[in-house]
Amino acid sequence: MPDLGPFIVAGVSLGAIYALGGMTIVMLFRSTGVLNLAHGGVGAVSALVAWDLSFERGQSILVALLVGIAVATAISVTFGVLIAPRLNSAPAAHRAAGTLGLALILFGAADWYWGDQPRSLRLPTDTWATEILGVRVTGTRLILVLLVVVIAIALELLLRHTRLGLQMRALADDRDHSALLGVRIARTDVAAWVIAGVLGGIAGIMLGNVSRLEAAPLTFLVIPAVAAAVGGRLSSLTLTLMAGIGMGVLETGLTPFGSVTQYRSVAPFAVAIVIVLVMSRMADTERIDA
Amino acid sequence: MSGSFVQSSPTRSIALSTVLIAALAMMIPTVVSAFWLRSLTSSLVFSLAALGAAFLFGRLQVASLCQVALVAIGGWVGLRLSHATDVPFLVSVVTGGLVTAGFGIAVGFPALRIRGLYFALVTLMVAAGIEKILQATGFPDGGGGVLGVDVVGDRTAMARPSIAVSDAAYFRYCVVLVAVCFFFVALLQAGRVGRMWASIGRGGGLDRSLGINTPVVQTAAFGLAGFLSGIGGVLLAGSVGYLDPATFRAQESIVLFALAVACGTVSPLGPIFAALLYRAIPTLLNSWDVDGDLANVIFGVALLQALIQGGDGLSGQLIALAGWVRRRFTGRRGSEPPAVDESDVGELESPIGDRTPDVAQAPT
Repeated sequence: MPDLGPFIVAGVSLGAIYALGGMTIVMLFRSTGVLNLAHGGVGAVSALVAWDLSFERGQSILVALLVGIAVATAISVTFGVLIAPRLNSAPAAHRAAGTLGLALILFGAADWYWGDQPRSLRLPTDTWATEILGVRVTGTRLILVLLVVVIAIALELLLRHTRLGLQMRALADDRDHSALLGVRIARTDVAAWVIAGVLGGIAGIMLGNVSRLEAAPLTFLVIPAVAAAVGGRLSSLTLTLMAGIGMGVLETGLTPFGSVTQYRSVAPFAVAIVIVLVMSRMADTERIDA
Repeated sequence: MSGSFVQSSPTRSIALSTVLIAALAMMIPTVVSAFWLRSLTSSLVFSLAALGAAFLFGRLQVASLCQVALVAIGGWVGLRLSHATDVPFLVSVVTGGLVTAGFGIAVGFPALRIRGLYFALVTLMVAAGIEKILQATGFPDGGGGVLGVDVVGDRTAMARPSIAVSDAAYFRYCVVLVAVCFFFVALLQAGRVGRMWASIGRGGGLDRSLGINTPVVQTAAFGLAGFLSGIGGVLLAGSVGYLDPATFRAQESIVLFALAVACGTVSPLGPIFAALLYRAIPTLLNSWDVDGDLANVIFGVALLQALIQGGDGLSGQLIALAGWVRRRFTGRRGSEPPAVDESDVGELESPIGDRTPDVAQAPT
């Protein structure tokens, strides 16, 4: 049995990335009923804007990061306010398909403007590191894992224990009834899309740092994030967090096993498909139309 | 989809379409360059994948985000069979289609038993998973073993059918097979199956009132979409000789889905336009020295526009425009183009009202 320690450490930080995306997707789905497949695209733009400002235009990294997150938030809110409500009466799959439209627009525009040269978004936290189970872990990765846990707790508290969270959940259940009960739909929607934009921006910057800073891979990293969200049954933030990290650990944990190592990146998707298989067994009597 | 023309006047429409398709099949190879002929052959292949996405989304209201990945499965099976055995090309085509259909059914059924959104997500997982697997395995190219990849030697191209060895003949061969598939789907939609699909797509519990086992019907439709994509995969392998995993990335399935919806899911012209745009727009933009990536922006806008506006996308608008022009010239009443989705709704209305689909005995 090979020593799995180093792979588990690497897997936790990979899984944290999946989990962050998955939790943002679950939060937005729970509050607006939109499964946002443009989450990766928003993050890609955020990371590329930050890179452009700091490495091409000489701005300080802090300003660059803040502007990147602000741009991501602006994109998210604009879509949430102008486009998403027009699909409110459509089935959930159509609303998700609409966000694919946004993903294609962001990915196409970013690829056109920035091209696909190799680049990376270096952060000041990359320079200090510590050793865990014999693996050198940079400050950025440590912050990423901690941030993901903090965000999970904050989102859970927001949705469960605040008035805004209650309104967000009410909206996801039935927009018309919520409006009759006095929920300010527009304001609640904007709040959800702002949170999604900020988290998408942060996730994009983190991803741009730990993986390739290119529009295509960053945009389509939404797919393993969706896998994590499926792991949380699109409703539980805690399960999404666990699923995301579990998928990351499984993916890297398979590295030392020669016969399957080349297939290890299939792991998150295979796990998500198995979860749906199990859910369908359990959901025999509770089929919901959406 | 194509139900409209078959139902309005079946014999005449089928005859007209056949003549038109035959004329195009004869003419196109004589007027276009070798490059564009190959590009059109590949468009034909992808029109089968787009056709599946179109009737699943347009009729059954489910989004299949793995159509291009299913093409890859068909292509893999076709290549493996062709290199390992001496079966005729057509047998490879049908086997590729059947294996892909079986795969589609195995994946689609569990997802559809929960709810429609999960189907979109599972197909997305499938697209991503197949992309990763293909990156690891590659496509068979004449080697041994299960995977059939020749690591050291020269790659062997897949043999084309003996009656269609040249590019022009192979294009015509593909036209015939693709046309047969389109007619088959059109006939299905015009009959009992089409009525079941329509009642499911209508929502509001109509499907359950009629005793339709919705997940089973939806899964069978996904199996059909898999069959069509699988056939496309073998035809693509025959066209190029080899397949490259880069052709089948998950994002390709997303782009093809966007185009299928944007180009219209009712008329058979929709998937054909979608496949032409899928192959042609990036090439055209590049040949004009414009970055081909901009095509994705256009596709994204077109998808949003089609989803928000309803109607039947590009093909629906063109058909409405043609009808308006025809009325202007024949002097019939009505100077406004008709609402695009009217024909669709009209076509669905009567069969459901007249007859109860006898699907109550569908397995549960």
